[in-house]
Amino acid sequence: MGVMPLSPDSSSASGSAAPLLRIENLAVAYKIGLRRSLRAVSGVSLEVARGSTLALIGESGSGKSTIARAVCGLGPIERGVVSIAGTDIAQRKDRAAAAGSLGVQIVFQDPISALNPRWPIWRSIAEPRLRLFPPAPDGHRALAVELLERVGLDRSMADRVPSQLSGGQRQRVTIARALSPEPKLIILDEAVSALDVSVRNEILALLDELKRERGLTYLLISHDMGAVIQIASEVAVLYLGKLVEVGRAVEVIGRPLHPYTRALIRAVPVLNAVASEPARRLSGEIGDPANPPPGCRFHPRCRFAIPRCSEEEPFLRELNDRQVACHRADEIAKQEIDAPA
Amino acid sequence: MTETTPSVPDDAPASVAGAAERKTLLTVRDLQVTAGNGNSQLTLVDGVSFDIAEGEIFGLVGESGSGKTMTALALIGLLPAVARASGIIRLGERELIGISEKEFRAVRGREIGMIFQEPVSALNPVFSLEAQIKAAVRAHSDMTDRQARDRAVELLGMVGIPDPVQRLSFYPHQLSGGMCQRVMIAMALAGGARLLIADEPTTALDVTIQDEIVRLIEDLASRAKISVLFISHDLGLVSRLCHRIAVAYAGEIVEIGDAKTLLHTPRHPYTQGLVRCVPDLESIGVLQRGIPGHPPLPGNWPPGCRFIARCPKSRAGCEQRQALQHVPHATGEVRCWRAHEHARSTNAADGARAWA
Repeated sequence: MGVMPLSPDSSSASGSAAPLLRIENLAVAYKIGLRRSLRAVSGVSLEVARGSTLALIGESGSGKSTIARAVCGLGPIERGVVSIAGTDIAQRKDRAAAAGSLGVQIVFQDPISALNPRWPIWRSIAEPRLRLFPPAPDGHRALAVELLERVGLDRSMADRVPSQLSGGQRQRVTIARALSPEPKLIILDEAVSALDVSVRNEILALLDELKRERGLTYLLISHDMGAVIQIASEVAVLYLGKLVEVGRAVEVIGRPLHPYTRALIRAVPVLNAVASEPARRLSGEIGDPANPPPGCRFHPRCRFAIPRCSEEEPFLRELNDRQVACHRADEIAKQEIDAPA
Repeated sequence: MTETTPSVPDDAPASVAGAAERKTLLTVRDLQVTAGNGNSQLTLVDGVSFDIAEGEIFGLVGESGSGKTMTALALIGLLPAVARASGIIRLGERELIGISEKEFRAVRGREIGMIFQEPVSALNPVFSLEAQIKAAVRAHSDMTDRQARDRAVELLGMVGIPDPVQRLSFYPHQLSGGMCQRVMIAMALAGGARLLIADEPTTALDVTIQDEIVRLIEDLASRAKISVLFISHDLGLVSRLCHRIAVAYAGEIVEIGDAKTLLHTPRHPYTQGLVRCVPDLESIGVLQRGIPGHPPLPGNWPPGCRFIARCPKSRAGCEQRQALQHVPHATGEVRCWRAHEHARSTNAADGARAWA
C-alpha cells in the first residue's frame, strides 16, 4: 500500500521536508467479550505535512476518533507506525506522555467535561505546560493570561471557573490550553461540532490565524462538513476502518470519486443545493466493524456495486490527483457512471 | 409588555410551498415567556407569532439563547416551574395558554409530541423497545397488552425501522443513534399526535443519518399529514426540509418567510449572517466569516433593534424599536427598518458579499 505525501499547497516547496505525522499500516483492535475483537482501524497509512490541516471524515464507526486517539497516545495500537516528527511512539508504553513531549495536543468536542470545574481558567491553561516545561515562578500564570487574550477572551476571565463561561468561550479556553506547551500538532476532535454555526466560524477563523502565526499542523476529526470545507487542506475519507479516498480538499470534496465520498458530501445541506434524487442518497447504515463485509466494505450500500466488489478488496491507487479505493473509480472519473445531474 | 403588534394576518400562513390553502393546525400569537416573579422578572420569549398548517414543516432557527427552545416548551406545556407563558397558543380549536396541568396531559402526547437532541440518552437503557413503546402507547389509550404490542410494531414500521417485530426485543444500546431517533419519533407519535416538535433532532448525528431522519420527517408530513415544528441552529438543514422558516434572535422573530426566499434573498442582516454560515461546496478552503459577538442575554435586550450591537449595517435610527413588517413583493416579514435596502441583492451569494 503506497503512502501518498500530503503537502500543503505552497509552503513545502522544498519537497524533501519530512512529514510531521506519519501513520503506517496502523491497525487498532478493541476486545469485545472474551474471544472476539473488533478491528476499528485496519492498515491505514497517512502522512501529514507540516503546516497542513488534514481532515478525517466518515460516519460514526468509521474509525476516525480511533486514529486520533492512537496519535495522541490515548488509545490502543495493535500494530503499525505512528511517527511524530520522526519518532515512532507506537511501541512505547508511555505513549500519551511521549506524544505530549513530541508536541501533540488535543481539543475535544465538549469543553465542559474537558475542563476541571473547580480550577480557575488560568490553571487549566497552564496545566499541560507545567508537565513539559521547567516551573515558572508564577506557575505560568502570566503566560496563561497572555494566551487567554490571544484566543479572544478578556484577561479578567483568568480567575473564573468554567461554569461562568459560555460554550464558545470554554472552547476558546481549551484551545488556549492546547497552545500552552507550544505544540506542533493539534488534534481537533469534533472541536467545533457542538457550537452554533456563527460561533463555529469565529473559532475556525481563530484556529486558522493561530496556525499561520505559530506554524501549527492540524488533524481535524469532524462530522461537520461545514468546518471541513472551510479549513481542511487535505481530506482522508474512512469507511469501516479503511481509507477509501485521500487527497487535497479541492479534489476530494470538490470532485469526489469514491461513491461513499460522493454520498457523504451529497448528504450535507449546502447553499444552493438541489434536493438530491432519492436514488443518489445513501441508504442503510455503516456495517458492523466486528464483522465487516467481504471485498469492498462499502459494497452493501453502494449503488454501483458489481460482483467483483464483494469478492475482491479494492486498494488505494492514484487517480485524478488523489488516491481512491474503488474498482469502478475510472468509470466514475470518466463520468460513464454517476454523471453529474 | 411589548409595543410590537404582530402583523401576521389572522388567516392561514401566507404560503405553504406548492400547496393550496391548507387548514391551520397551530396558531401562536404574541407569545411571551417570562421567568421569575415580582420585580425580578425576565422575559425569555417576547411576542412571537406564527402559524403551522396541517402537514406543514415549519422551521425555527436561531442561536443558543434566542428563545427557540423556550417557545417549544411553552407549546408542549413543559416550561420550567419558574417560567410562565402568556399570549395565544391555539391547537385546532383548543386554547393551550392558561389550561391546567391535568388538561395539558391530555394534549401532550395525544396531540403534540416532542423529540430532542441525543436520542440515545432519551431512551431508558434498561428497558426493551417493546416495554418503552408500549408504555407510550398505553399512556394515551386503554389498549390491551396485545393491542399495544401490535401498535408498537405498526409505529416502528411507520418510522422506517426494518424488521419491527424482531427489533421490539432490542435494547437502546443495540441500536445506532439514527435508529434511536426513529424510535423517539415513534414514541412521540404513539398517542396520535398531529404536531411533532423536533428540537435539534439531528445535531449529534452523522450527515448521512441526518439526511435519513430528514427524509422520514418529510414523509410523515406528506403522507400522515403530521405538522412539524423543526428547531435548529443550522439554516442549511432547515431550508432543505422546511416549507417556511422563522428566524429568532434575542426572544423575537426577526424574519419569517418561505424557505426558498429566506435562503436566497435574506432581508435581515442577521439572517444574511446565518446564510453565510451555510456550507458552500464552491468555496473549499475559504473561511466564511461568522457573526462576531454574542446575542444579548435576556434582561439586557436593548430597547430598539436587538441585533444592533452585532449588525454591520446599523446606523442612526436603529435604536428605535423595530416592528415586524411586511416585505414588499415577498411573502415574508422582517424586523429591520432598512430591509428594503438589503433586499436589492437577488441571491444569497450577493447578500453575503454585501454583508462582509
